[in-house]
Amino acid sequence: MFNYDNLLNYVRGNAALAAKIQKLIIEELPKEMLKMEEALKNKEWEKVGSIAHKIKPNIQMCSKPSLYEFVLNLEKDGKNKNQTDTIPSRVEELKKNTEQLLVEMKENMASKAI
Amino acid sequence: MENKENEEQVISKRDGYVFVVDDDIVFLTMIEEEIKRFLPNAKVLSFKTGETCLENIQLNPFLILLDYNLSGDEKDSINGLRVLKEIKKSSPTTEVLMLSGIDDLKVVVSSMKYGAFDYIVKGENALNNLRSKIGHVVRKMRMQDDSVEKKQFNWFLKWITIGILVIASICYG
Repeated sequence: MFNYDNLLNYVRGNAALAAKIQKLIIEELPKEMLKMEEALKNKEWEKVGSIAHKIKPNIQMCSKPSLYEFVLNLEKDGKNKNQTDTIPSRVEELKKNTEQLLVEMKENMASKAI
Repeated sequence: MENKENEEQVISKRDGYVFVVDDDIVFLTMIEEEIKRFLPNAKVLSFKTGETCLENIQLNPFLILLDYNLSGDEKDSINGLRVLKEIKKSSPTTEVLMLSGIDDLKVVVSSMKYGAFDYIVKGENALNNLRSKIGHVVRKMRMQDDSVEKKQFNWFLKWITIGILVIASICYG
């Protein structure tokens, strides 16, 4: 789920900046996912889409293209209120994937002793 | 090669304020760190909302990097395009580079229409493009500075010439 080489490419090979970005994503991504779940509970589809838009660049930076596409589609459907019956299961799937991403990021940081 | 090195020196010497405005703290941090690397003499200030950016506009930054989709979590917070309009009203000489996750011609056109200098997509080439576009901004400012200096020199030359002619006419009738 986590692609360190992609992240390093984004920050032009700056390993220290990559480490800083990893720490921030580990802090911020769970908060955004909580907000998304809250929005889902209240059936605020546009807000779900808006939060998907916000986390999309971070996912693109450090994960695989398929996850980015998944978030992009969730963003579009949320904002346009399309296929709202599928949104709850998709948010649940995204939650599992982001949890896995964070586990791998933490393991990567631990292995680099950052 | 020599010209490129000189140009990089000119860019790195640029001082003054640079603002970065984005509610995504990860991207904000990334941009801020990168700007500090190649504009070491600039003072970089980051803001998560348009309101806090505009509250500090009197610092007259020479460059602002502004998220197009700036909305924050607050219902009434102002979006990126509105912030852009306010910036150009309050500080017309400040150059603005819009940042967005959207690669959409309509977004680009509306940004330029309201005075943005250029536009950067938040993708894997964002930092490369950032460097290149900041270079364009600094070059433009340098040309403007040169133009002002030239005008001042011409003005000085004009009055020296008039002074010489007046003295000559007094001395030689």
